[in-house]
Amino acid sequence: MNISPVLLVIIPVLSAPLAWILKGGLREWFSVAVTLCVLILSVFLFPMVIETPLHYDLFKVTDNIVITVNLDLLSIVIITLISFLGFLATLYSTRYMTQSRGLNKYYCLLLLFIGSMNGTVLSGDLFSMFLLWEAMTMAAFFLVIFDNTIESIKAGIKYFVMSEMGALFMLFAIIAIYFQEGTVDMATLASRGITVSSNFRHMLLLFFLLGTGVKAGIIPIHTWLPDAHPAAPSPVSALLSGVMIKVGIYMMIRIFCHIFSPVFSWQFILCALGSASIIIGVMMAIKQVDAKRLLAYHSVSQIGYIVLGIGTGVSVGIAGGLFHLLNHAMFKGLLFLSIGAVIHRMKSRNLSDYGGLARAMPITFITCSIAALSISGIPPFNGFVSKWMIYIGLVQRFTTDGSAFTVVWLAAAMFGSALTLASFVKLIYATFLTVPEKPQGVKEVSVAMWTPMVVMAGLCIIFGVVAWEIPLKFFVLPVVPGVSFSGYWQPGLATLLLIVAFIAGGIIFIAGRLKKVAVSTPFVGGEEFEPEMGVSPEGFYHTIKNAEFFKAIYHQAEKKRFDIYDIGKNIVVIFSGALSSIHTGILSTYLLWIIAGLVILLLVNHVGF
Amino acid sequence: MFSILEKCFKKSIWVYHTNASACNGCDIEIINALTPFYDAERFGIKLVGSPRHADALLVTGAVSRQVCPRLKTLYKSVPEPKLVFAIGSCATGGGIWFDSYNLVGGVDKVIPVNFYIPGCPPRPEAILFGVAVALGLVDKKVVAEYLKEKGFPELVHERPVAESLWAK
Amino acid sequence: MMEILKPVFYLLIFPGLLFTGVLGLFFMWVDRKVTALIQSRMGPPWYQCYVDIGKLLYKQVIIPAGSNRLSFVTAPLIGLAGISLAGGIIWMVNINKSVSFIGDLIVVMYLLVLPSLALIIGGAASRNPFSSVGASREMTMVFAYELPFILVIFTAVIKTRSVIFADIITYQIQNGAMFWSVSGIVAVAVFLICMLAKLCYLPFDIPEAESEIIGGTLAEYSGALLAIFKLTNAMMLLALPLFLITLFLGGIVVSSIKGILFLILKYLVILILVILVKSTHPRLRIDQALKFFLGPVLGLAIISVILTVLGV
Repeated sequence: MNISPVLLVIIPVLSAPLAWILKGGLREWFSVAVTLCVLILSVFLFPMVIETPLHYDLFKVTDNIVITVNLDLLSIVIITLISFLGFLATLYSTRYMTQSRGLNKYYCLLLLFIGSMNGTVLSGDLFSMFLLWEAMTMAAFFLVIFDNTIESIKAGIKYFVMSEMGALFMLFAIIAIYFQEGTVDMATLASRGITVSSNFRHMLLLFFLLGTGVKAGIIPIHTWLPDAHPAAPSPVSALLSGVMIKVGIYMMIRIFCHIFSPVFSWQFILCALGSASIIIGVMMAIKQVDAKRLLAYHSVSQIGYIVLGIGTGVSVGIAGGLFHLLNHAMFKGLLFLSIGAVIHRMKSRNLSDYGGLARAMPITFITCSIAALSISGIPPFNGFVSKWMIYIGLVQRFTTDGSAFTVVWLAAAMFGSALTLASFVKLIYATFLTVPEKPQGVKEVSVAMWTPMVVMAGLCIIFGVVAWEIPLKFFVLPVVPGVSFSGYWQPGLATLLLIVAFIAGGIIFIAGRLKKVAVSTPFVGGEEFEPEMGVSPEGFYHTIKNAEFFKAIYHQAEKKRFDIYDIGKNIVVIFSGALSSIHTGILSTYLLWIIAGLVILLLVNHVGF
Repeated sequence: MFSILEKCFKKSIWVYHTNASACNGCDIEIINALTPFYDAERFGIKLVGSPRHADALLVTGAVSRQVCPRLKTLYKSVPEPKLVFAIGSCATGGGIWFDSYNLVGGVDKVIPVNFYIPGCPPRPEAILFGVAVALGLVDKKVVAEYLKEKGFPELVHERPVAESLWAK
Repeated sequence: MMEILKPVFYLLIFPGLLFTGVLGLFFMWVDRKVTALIQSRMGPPWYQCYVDIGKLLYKQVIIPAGSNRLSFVTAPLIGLAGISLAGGIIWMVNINKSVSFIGDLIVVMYLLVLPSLALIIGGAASRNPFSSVGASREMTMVFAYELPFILVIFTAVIKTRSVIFADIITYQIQNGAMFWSVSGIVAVAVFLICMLAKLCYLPFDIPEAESEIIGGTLAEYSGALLAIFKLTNAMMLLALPLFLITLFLGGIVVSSIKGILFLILKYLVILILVILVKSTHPRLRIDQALKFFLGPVLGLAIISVILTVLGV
């Protein structure tokens, strides 16, 4: 029996108390070493799994509930992703977390978080998966409230309540499946080919969707995401946005594609929710001036792409969704880390406080621009390839079912891409390119912080330019069988031609430098140039925000009319307010209630309902 | 190769028009010259909105003190090679306000001028003729004459040109 | 080695950068000449646009102090790269209908975003408040016209159930041009309006408004960089109507004289429509343009999609 996959969970979990005890620099490098070990272990396990998936029983709880370990290609890809991003985030936080109190808690929680995420993906039965899912939620909760401000505690509580509600629905569904099928083992359930025939089964799928959707961040259960991801420290935000929501998607894939047979109406619902997430996420992101909240809304939007890809039901669409999952971890992690570097230097999250950082922080500028271009889907970066595959999947779906809704999803997806570009243009402009209001004395961040950024930016470029050779061949296409591409895209040749045209333009530029290039102050109608002139980040999309249709919706969103958590909170408050009016505090009223209750009970007993 | 580009310069001049304390008469005539009736585009002349795109500056007006530094900034903003046209009598030498207290009198006291087009205001045909002379399409009709005042006992006002005008 | 050199030749010389650039500049002159004829005057001579580019190459390049040199200088190059690759793809799929050159319809649509992105980055990187206003307005324009543009291109995708150019052109050769249907006519009308916005022509040249914001996004550009922007504009003037002809008007046939004459005729009709609208309309404000695109134009685009799905 091969113990090595379980080591992926045991090593971080057992090292966590050690990280609590150690002091100072030793603790930080110990955590980095542990995460590096986990990464190397997962990379070694990769070739073993390509031929045959690993599947064995670990521990027998009762006759029917057995904790199993399941390591097939899908799991190993996600585990490698978790370990990789975990290592980079830990390396980054050695220099980012400069406060002195509570850091032992931080590293301990970080290792527990990575371990529990690995475990959730590794487990082969629903029982242990649920246990580790809850552990992941707890670890993430404590990491979100790490800063101990009012805002982060409120965000953490919102995240916790919504996660637990979803987990409750999922627990009900798991118990229902156990009673119906008699086992919780996922492989056994998959081999039985459960069809969604009855209304009860539809309700089970709905509960599973709610449970995994809360973690993934789909509309309308996404509302914890824009509060929790900004409140956490930046490396934790990178992990939350980069991998934790992917674990939710992983469970969704397992349930909708493996355990239950694919059913057309649920694909339709997934497509609808995905498209809604794309558009709503990015429209909310356009008006944000808090840098991390903007990135959190973009997470919601890109998860919409992944869900849309999975919902198409055709192989190339699912492969596109899976590839977008990998790509999103790359560029969203990179974005959170580079904006974290900016926050680290500028000590503020508001876009209006930034400006002109391109000269002061060149590495951050270039990596952030690469990530912004990737997330907008500009060829030849990696975001374009995965979005292209999702579009091809939608066109293939339209070929088979011919419904007009597929056109709507396709239009929403492409429009969302243009909107993403709009939002990131504002971010890059406000952070790096605009004129600062006061002089900035900042410098570039240290090596431990920019190394993860450069590595991820390099991967963004590599995944895009050699998309067919490296990521698709090794990570995506083996997982999803039977992918047929009905479009055409040659990234290598296209990149070469783009570079050639770029150089041709450069030659024209050099040919025109007959007289020396001069530098002079910008022309503002002959006046003195003052830095307060210019468009501020709030005013960049002034026109869009004030168009009547959008103004009304943004106004309602400000008042949190669309937030499920707030709606639920208001209902609970009203209900408990009504109930609390019974507790008047007067003894005679309580005696009256007791007597009335006794009378009713006697009546019921006598009449015999 | 460069001589070809040099010849290109004469065939396409992009102008930027600026008003340095003029009465707007010359401005109206300049805008007239750019309308379809007089058709400046057949010479390749186009009006642009930014001095960075311009080849020729059309300056009107006797320059006042407030405009001086801004006119200098504007001159520095135009990339080489550039031409400056002083249009109207006020821009050429101050017009009838050559000795006023708040006007410098003549654009060439602030920035170097290549061509003068006198008139109050010069007709659009005269403006176009001046530009054609600058482009070498026709020969010049008049030669500059420097007049000296005779018979006036003394200058009515004697005011030194303030140093602060040239400070910025 | 030859497999790499051949596409590079196609991209740079024929029918890519050089060919499209030279032809595009010629059609820019046609635009100015027809505008002049509308305004009852003689226009510039036939070599005017080439002379403009030559003169711009002769001028000094000025870089604004304090701006980021990297983004300022590379912004026009990004636009040039994007449009030359997109133009190359559009020409090549028409010349050789059986082999897909580099990408399909989705690739061309994304590559056509690059020139607008270049304008925006250039405007943002020049440290000038007027340029940043221009950049903000250009992004709002992209937001406005992108959705109707996507929807009308999908009418072609819906009819042929494929995104590869070869399939679309083959469908049109077999079944007649897509223009000869109600949905096709509406789609072509919406495409022409969005094309006006993409080319930054009146009534939608808000980002490059000359008199309002000192040249908008291009305010700080001079010399060779401005020449690259103008060259990109000229290439878009050639590439976008060719895109329209490929998708909706039957494709380009370059093998026979009759085909080439038809191509020139179709192109000139589209160009003259664009010029007529351009010389007779004033400039819209940015919020009026936003309401226009997300109101009537989007409605027309949705109608064309519905008509296509219904099969009309």
